[in-house]
This record gives sequence, structure tokens and C-alpha cells, in this order.
Amino acid sequence: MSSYHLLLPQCTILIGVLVLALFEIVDKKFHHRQGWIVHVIALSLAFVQQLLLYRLPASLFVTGGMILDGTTQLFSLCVLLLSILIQINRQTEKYSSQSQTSILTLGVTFFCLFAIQSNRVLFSVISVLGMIWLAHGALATETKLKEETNLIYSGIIRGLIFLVVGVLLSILCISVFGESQMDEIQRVIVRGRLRQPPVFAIEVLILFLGALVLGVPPFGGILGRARNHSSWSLSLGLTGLFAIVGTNIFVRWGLLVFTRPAIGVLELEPLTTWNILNVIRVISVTGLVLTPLLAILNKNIRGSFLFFILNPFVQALFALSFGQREILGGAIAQVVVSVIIIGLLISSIQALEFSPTATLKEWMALGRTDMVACLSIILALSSAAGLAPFYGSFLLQKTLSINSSFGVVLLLNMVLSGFYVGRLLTLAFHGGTADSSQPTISRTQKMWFAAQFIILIFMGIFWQPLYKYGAYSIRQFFGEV
Amino acid sequence: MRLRIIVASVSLILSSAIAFLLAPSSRAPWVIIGLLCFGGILLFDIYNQLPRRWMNLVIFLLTYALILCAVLENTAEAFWRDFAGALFFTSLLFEQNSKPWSGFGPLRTTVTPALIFLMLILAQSVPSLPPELNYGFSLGAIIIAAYIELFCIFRENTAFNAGSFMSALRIACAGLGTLFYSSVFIPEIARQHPFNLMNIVLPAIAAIVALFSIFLKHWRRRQILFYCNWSLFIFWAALSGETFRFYAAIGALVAGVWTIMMTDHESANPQNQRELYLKLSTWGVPGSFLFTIIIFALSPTTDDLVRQGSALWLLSFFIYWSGLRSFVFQKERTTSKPEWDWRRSLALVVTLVGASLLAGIRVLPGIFSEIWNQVGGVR
Repeated sequence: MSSYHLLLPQCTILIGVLVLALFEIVDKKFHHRQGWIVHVIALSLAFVQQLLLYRLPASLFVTGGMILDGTTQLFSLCVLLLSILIQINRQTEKYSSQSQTSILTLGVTFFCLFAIQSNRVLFSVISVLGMIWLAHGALATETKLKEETNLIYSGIIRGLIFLVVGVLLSILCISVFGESQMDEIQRVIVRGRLRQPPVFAIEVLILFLGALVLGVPPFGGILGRARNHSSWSLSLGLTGLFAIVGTNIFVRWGLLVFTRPAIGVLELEPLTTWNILNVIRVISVTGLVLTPLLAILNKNIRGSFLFFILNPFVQALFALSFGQREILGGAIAQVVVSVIIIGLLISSIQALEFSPTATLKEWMALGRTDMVACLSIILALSSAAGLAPFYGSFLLQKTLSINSSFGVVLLLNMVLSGFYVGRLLTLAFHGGTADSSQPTISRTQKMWFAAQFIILIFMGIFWQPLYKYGAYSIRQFFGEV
Repeated sequence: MRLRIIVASVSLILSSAIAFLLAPSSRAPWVIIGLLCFGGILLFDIYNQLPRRWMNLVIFLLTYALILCAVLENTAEAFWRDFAGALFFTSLLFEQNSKPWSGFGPLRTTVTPALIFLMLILAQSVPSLPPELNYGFSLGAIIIAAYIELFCIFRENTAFNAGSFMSALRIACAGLGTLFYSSVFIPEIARQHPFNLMNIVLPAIAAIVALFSIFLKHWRRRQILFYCNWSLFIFWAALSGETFRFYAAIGALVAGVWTIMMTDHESANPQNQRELYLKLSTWGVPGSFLFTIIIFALSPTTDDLVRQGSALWLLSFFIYWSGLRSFVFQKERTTSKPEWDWRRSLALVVTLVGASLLAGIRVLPGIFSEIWNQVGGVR
């Protein structure tokens, strides 16, 4: 097996993009169903290929331009799974006929994989830039014609800001360490006596970019207004994809580079005087408070959901900041669970055919008319809140509380999240007059909700295997591979 | 409807069988008690409330699965987690099946207490808390679990939720959870000062709630509070640490769950004797049980606090029953009176036979023994 095998999923997606582009060029009126099928096949094939790549020895690739250790593998699978879920849900999307959207979203997935698997900061920056521009393009195709240009310009500007900071980071890395390769940077930090200010600047830039891509409040993500008027599947799904990549930046660019396994214990210790673990903790604590709070304060359903789906990612980030092997495992597993949560949320809210500007008024008494979809949303949000019996409800909280008094903030996060879910639940079943014009949900859709919900609840109840798998995926962090 | 009932019954039996096979011998009785409670809900659902929607059945089965998981867990943390999940689903079922209401006031929903319960459990993990405070949080969580329906007592139309399967489910979850906790995970400090005062504090809370129920006009709301008190009574009986009270609490739990489901919601037709008997007997079973347990509670004990607590319980139930003085027989709002079916017949048989047997099972031997001794003494 050679290192080129690593690129198999990307190649498959690229072929998918090319086929869709060919459809677009040759026959401008091709049926959207064909595009949808090609898209799903490309993603599914890439998912299977990625799954089979676990057989590659990680040590072979971590030193090259690409990485494929357990964490990268898991994050890549999450990206592909979420992309598949987005695309499956787009089958009923009225905008899905636009072939451009399909090509652009497949492109986002393509760059996502590179952003996660790249071992060089510069390549990752370029990949994330590709993601930002393509995502804005895809979101713009689903809005009114006169808004498209504005959104694309806004996307280009956001991408440029990211590029400027990213290039600055890459230049700093190359000038300080002579490399932008992450494992090499770590070796230099371990070996040499470096001047602390430039290293400090690099850390700050990395954390800023990570928070920006993840969308931790108050940054609000780099998709901006573009998410507000597009379809539910793209706006929520792309936010999820960016959140995975953002988490990966924290893990790969932050933890892997600026920490190392402490001798004799299963913990990471900081390599610089500025303890990056503590800083990540402060960022995540801010996110833990602001994410549910902004979701509560937002009267617009989409706005509040966009904030709230970041909640499990912020909880995972908080757990990551403790740098302990077991907790890191739990945090990585939390990212996997988040993918299913977003999938369930997209499918159920899309079935209700809410307009992008829907407010809580439209939500009121919805449970009386369309209970299945409404409950699916509630359960997805309960899971995102980390309420029992869903994954992370007790595990993270109890483990983290033992380690630090910061655990109280996680408790506060759950209180706020609980209030958010409780309020939505109360409003969904209260005695107001429900809108009888809601679409009826087909049996297939109900079964689709049920399938996702069963996976979600099983992940919560039988959490041990997931936890172990998460811990297994970070073995390399602790020098076990 | 029939398909739903069959699917639910098969799932219930299958999950119980799996849990029974997987359970260590010390936990197997808990699986059986769980099956008795949840199976009773499904069996005696004379209004077919539960299988009306697939979603109800799914959440009901999930709740049951979580309760089974809870009684099979090895650690207190895992037990609380499953218990909290079961309560969350119960409150979810309550909200989705309850009568419509204005929706204003977050404290008037049953979801709020379920979330407070979770927070109290989570609060135990805050570092450097003394064990007393941790146990205090557990106690608070159990009291919240017992009084979940108290939160929604003032909302519109809540009276019509009395005697619903949601109430029965809440009693089943809270009862099983608290009994299991008292039996397996309760810390040693629970028996020491100041927590031994709970033997009085808990009945005192119940007495206050009973006093409060007097001021409620609708008897159905009083019924809701009565069942809340009953949940607490079950916990108290288990907490007192005496074996016979513990078994009595198990009996009270099963009887409570069953009779909620058996109780006729409409006014009984005097022409139909069976209806009349069922109505009277379903009220009779909890009554019989209640007084049986009160007799247990008042039976000789070395613990003064338990004795005083028993007296307080007697007082609180007396207050509750005294509220019946204002009971007015009026025509209930009925839309369709269900036909007399095999479930009602079964319920009637169970209540008549069960009530008489169970009520006498402890009392009669004692009385006979006393008489025997007296007679022997005379000789």
C-alpha cells in the first residue's frame, strides 16, 4: 500500500464533481434526479473507501504531507457521513434541482477532507478557503437572484480574511520553524529554544482560526448571512461541516503541535509557556455559556438552531481542553454523535417545510398537528443539549467536574440548554391554534426519522463502545502507535 | 390499533426476557417488578390511550428500556443517568398527550421538573462537595420525581390528565427508581443524623400537600396530588430500612400503577353493576393497600422517628380523604363511553380478588395470631 491510497476518497469525490460538471456542460437541462444519484453514489463510495483506509499504518503517513491517524479517520468519516445525510435530505428539497448547488456542495466535502487530512498548515488553509468560497457559492444558489451577488461577494471577503490570517500563520510557521508541517513543528518546539513571542503569535492565530471556523460565539461562523435564506439542509449541514473542520483545527493544529504526552500518565502537557490547554478551555467556556444563551434569545427558529447545533461541538472542545486520554476519547465520540444529531434535525425540520424566516410563532402548537416531526426535532435538540439519556449527558459532565471546578460551567450550559429545550417543548404542545396547512409526513419520512433517532438513542444508552473507539482513535497522541 | 398493541406487548415481553436473562440473580426481581408495572399499564389501559399513536408506544417502550437499564446498572452514576432519561421521556409523553393549555409559565410544564431532576443529579458531580450535600441533592431529585405533576396542577384542563397512563407511567418510573436506589445505592449517611429526620420530613411534606389539596375544587386534581403523595410514601417506606415495609412499598407501587389504569374516568352507570363494582373496587384497592401499609407503618418499631412519621402519614391521608366531604356526584363530560370489554372484566377480577387478599395478607394473620394468643391466654 502506498500513500496514494490515502487520496482514494478524494479522487472518488472529484470524479463525482467532474461527472456532475459534465452533465451541466453537455446537457443543461439534465434531470436533477440524475445529479442527486451521482452525488449520493460518489459520497457513499468515498465513505466506504474511507472506512477501509483504517488498515493503513498511521505512522507511515503522519510524517508526510497527509495524516491518517485515528482522529483524522474519524473526522473524515464524520464529514462524509454528514454530507451523505445532507444529500439524502435534499431529495425532497425544492432547490435540489439546481445542479450548481450539487457540484458546489460536493466540492465543499472534497476540500473538507483535505482540510482535515492535510499535515501542512498552508495546505489546510487553502482547503478551508476552498470550503468557504464553495459553501458561499452553494448557499447563494438557493437565494433570490438579486441577493446572489451580495452573498458571493460577502463570501469572497470572508474567505479573503481567512486567507490573510492563514497565510500570515503559514509564513510565521515557516519563518520560526522552517516548516509548516505540523509534526515537524512539534519536534522543533520540543527540541529547540525558541523565542516565545512568535510562538505565542502562532498559537493566537491558530486558536482564532479554529474558533472562527467552528463558529464558537461570538464569532458566529464564517458563513454569515448566506445561511439565513438558503435551504434548511444546506444551512444546518454546512454549519456542521465547518464545525467538524474547526474542531479538527483545535485538535490537529493546537493540541497535537503544542502539547506532548506526559511521561507516566495518560495526559498531555503543554510545550510552551503559554498553556494552550487553558486557553482552549477559556474559549470553550465562553462558547458553553454563549451558545445556548444566544439560541434562547434568538426569536428566529433558524438562527436559534444554528447556534444550538454548535452546542455538542463546544462541549467536545471543552472536554478536549483537559488533555486527558479518556476525556479526549469522549470528546471525539461527541463529534460523531453531533453528526447524527444534525442529520435528524435537518430531516425533521425540512419535512415541516418551515420558511427560513420562521419564528417561534410558527412553532407554537406544532406538536398537536405534526407530532412525529416535532418530537424528532425536540429529541435532536435534547441530544445536542446533552440531556439524559443521550450521549455525553453524564459522562462528560461528571468526568470533567472531577478534574476542574470549570465543570460548573458545563452544568450551567446544561441548565441553559435544558431551558431552551423545555421552552420549545412547552410551546410545541401548548393549547394555541396550530396551523393546519402543515404538510403531511409520509410513512417513509417517519421511518427515516425513526432510524436516525434509534441510532442516536443507542449511541446514548450504549456509550461505552463509542467512548472506547474515541479513546482508541487518539492513541497516536500518546505515542502508542 | 390491534397491531400496535401486539407489537408493544411483544416488545415489552422480549425486552423483559432479555433483561431477565442478562441480569444477575440479585437484580432479576427488579426486572419482574418492572414488567408487572409496565405490563399492567399496557394491559389495563381500558381507554386505549397508549396505543393511540405509534409515537406513544415508542416512547413508552424506550422509557421501559431505560428503567430496565437503570435497575441493571452497576454504578450509581449510570443508574441516575438512566433514571433521569426515563423521567425525561415520561414528561415528554405527558406533554404530548395532555390536554391543551395556554403554554405560559415554564414552571407549569412537567418538563421543567424533569430537567431540575437532571440538574440535581448533575450537581452531585461538582467538585469538593461534602457527601451530605450530595445525598441532599439525591433526596431533592427523588422528591421532585415524586411531585412532577404538582408543577402542572394549576394549568388549564390538567384535571383531565388525572388517571391517565402518563400518571401511571410517572408512578412506575419514580417508584421503581426510588425503591431501587433505596435498596442498592443508598449511602450510609442516609440512616444517620440529620438525614434520619427524613422519616418525619417526608410525611410532613405529604401532609402539607394534602392540606393544599383540600383547597382544590376539582376532585381529579386532588387525585393527582394523592398519587404524588403515594410516590413519596413508597420512598419513605423503603427509606425506613425495615424489610416488611420495603415489600409493602413494592406492593403499593404495583397496586398504584394498576389501579390508575383501571379507574373508570366516566361516572358509573348504576344500572350496570359491573361498572359500579369496578369503580368502587379500583378506588378500593389503593384504599385497601393504603390502610394495609399504614398498619405496617404503625406496627411496632424501635425507631421513634419512623413511628412519628407513620402517624404523620396517617394524618396526611386522613386529610386527603376528608376532602371527599365536598365530593359532588356530577355528570362527567364524556364523549364516547367505551364498551365493557375483557380488560374491564379482568380489572374487576383483579381488584376484587387482589384487594381482599392483599389487604388481609398481613393483617389477618396478625389478628388471628392475636386472637389465638388471647384465647390461649384465657385458657
